[in-house]
Amino acid sequence: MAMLAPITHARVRSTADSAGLAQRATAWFADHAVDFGVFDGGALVQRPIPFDPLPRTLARADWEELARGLTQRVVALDCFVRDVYGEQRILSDRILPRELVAGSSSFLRAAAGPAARTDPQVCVAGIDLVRVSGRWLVLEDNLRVPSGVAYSLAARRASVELLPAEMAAARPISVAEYPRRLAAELARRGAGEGTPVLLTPGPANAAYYEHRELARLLRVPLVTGDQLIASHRGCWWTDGTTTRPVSAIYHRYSPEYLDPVATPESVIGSPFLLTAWRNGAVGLANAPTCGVADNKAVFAHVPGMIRYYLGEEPLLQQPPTFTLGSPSHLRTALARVDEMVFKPVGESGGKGIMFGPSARPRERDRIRRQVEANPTGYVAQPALETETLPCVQPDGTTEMRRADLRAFVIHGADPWVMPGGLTRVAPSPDCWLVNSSAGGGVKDTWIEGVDPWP
Amino acid sequence: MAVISLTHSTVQRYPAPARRSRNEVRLQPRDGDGYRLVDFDLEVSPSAEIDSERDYFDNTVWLVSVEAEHRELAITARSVIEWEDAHPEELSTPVAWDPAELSCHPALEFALPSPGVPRLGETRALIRELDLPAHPAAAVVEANHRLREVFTYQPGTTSVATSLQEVLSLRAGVCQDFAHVLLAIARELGWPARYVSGYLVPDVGAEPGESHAWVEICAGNGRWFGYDPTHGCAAGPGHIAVAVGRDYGDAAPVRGTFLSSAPGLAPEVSVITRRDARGGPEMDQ
Repeated sequence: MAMLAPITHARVRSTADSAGLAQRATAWFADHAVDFGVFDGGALVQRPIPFDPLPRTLARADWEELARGLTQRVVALDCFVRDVYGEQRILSDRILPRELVAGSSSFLRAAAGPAARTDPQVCVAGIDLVRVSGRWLVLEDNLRVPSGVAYSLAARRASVELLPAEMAAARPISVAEYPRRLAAELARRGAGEGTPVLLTPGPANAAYYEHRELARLLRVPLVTGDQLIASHRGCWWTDGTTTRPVSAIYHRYSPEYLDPVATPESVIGSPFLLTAWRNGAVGLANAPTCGVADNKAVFAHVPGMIRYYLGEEPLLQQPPTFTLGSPSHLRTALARVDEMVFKPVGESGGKGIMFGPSARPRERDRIRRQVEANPTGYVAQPALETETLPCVQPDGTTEMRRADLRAFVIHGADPWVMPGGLTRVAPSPDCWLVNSSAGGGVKDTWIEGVDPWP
Repeated sequence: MAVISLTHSTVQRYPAPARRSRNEVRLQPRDGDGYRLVDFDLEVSPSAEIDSERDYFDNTVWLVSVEAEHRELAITARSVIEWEDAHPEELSTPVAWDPAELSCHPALEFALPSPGVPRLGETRALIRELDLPAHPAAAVVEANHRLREVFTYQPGTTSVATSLQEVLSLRAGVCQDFAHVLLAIARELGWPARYVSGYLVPDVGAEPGESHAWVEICAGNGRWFGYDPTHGCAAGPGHIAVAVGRDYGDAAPVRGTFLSSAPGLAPEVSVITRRDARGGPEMDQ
């Protein structure tokens, strides 16, 4: 793993300029309603996501190395998904404990069949990375419903308007190709005649802005579950007056909620949607199988998957993960609660994450009790002193906050990593969590384009 | 040899018009030890789109879609089964597992908790109460024999929605509940165990049969052994398997959804079994 070149930030001349920039950035996101839903007093309220105008800049060579590592990772994860819904070679060869698949609530038996073994299953992967002492580490693979890309595209449009001089100087690689790439992959997954659609759970979803925005960029109808009609022979969407065939669905549902017949615990979704997909009558992106690979206990084994399926050494590193179902791992992790992060295996969006270092003694006892009551429900990772980035305050001063990067990979015949991604920043200097659902903000991510000084 | 004809009808009536009905139907018998499915027919009224596929557990699933408005959905499955009378008495007991071996074996998924059969302290309490023998094979055989001593077979006390925890506290239920309790005990004892839905064929002809559920345990050599806790006996001749899974949820005979302004009434289910002892060559015509 090579060290990356120092980060260059867009230079802003004075605090007075900075204060103006911060205000214009906030106003831009509010004017364009770049909203993310957060819970306030028990209700979901759509609010503009906090946007910091100072972009994160990455050198092109460093980015290319990162992109190779991300591609390798997603290709291996896709092999894993197809294998566990097929021959399960990786389990019979004992590379990965069988219980992690057989006992996983994300192993969707209702998705099993020929469609679950076709290449590829993953369409969009959102890989979360942090930088520790200049070195990138993968923290999470999001394969079910990775969100955030529309916020990243909005940040770029805001940069164009707010920082024209800095943009001209740095010439970051364009990210505008993303919707075209996604549309092409969606078309490739399509079945028969018909139109692709984007399936949203509706305005009550935190990322509803993104669903609307992606539908607009992909030029496809935005539909809800009750507007879809599925059978084992096809899929249609209806707006009440006309009914048209659907070829493929870019869905923003957790897979276990797609089809209430297949998984009766679901009350949303469209009956027989999984049946239609299993029978090749409609395409689904991502495939409903993908959740099995983004479980946090499976994460520990991704380097092993890369070696097993690709015969290569992993290009990207990841922190050691303690799977707490193992008594020795549990002992190690609980002996060092103050150095560990505990994550529930099946959750996402930062839900249920417990940080040892920032916890008070009483909270550490609570963590211990919670983990001991359900050890297989958690993994632990050493808490990392991750990179901090300058964020501009309303008064024009800057403060340093922890940051990560969600990179987006579109998987297909020719896997493609979006040159940039969503840089997420913590809501305050003392906060460890960068998730938007925890009040975190976003930044634009610039990959240096053509060298401005040839 | 005997030939058994089974007719399983499910009639769902709707107080308000129903449409867009989507159903997974698991009513086609599997082939098993000593019996073979020779004919199967599924009839649906009103007219429906019907196809079949194999599910994850290799059960045959019939997919039934009715788009138009209807007040009644009738699904009738007719099976003809050839059955060997001379079924050898099963005397062997299942070979226990080496836990390390099981952790890598495909049967592991049946040893883990499942949505309908979670791990519960109440199951461990029941095992202590039954004071089962130490050997896991002897323990599961005895649990199967003696479950009827502590649980009452009582239709109407439970429904398909009753949880295992409730059944363990009610100490009553039907065959599905008995099967879930034995599954929980067997898994607690370290056995991979699966739920079987199917039919019980009466010994004498012309009597109505019944829809039934029991348990199979996978032995260390990969062989499945059937146990019927409702009757406290081995699931031997007369048990015809239709669908298997981790619990009832994987093997439900009919599962579906529909659109209507009112909920459907409880489905009316009937099973008629006709045993024809003549069998043999004349049935081949």
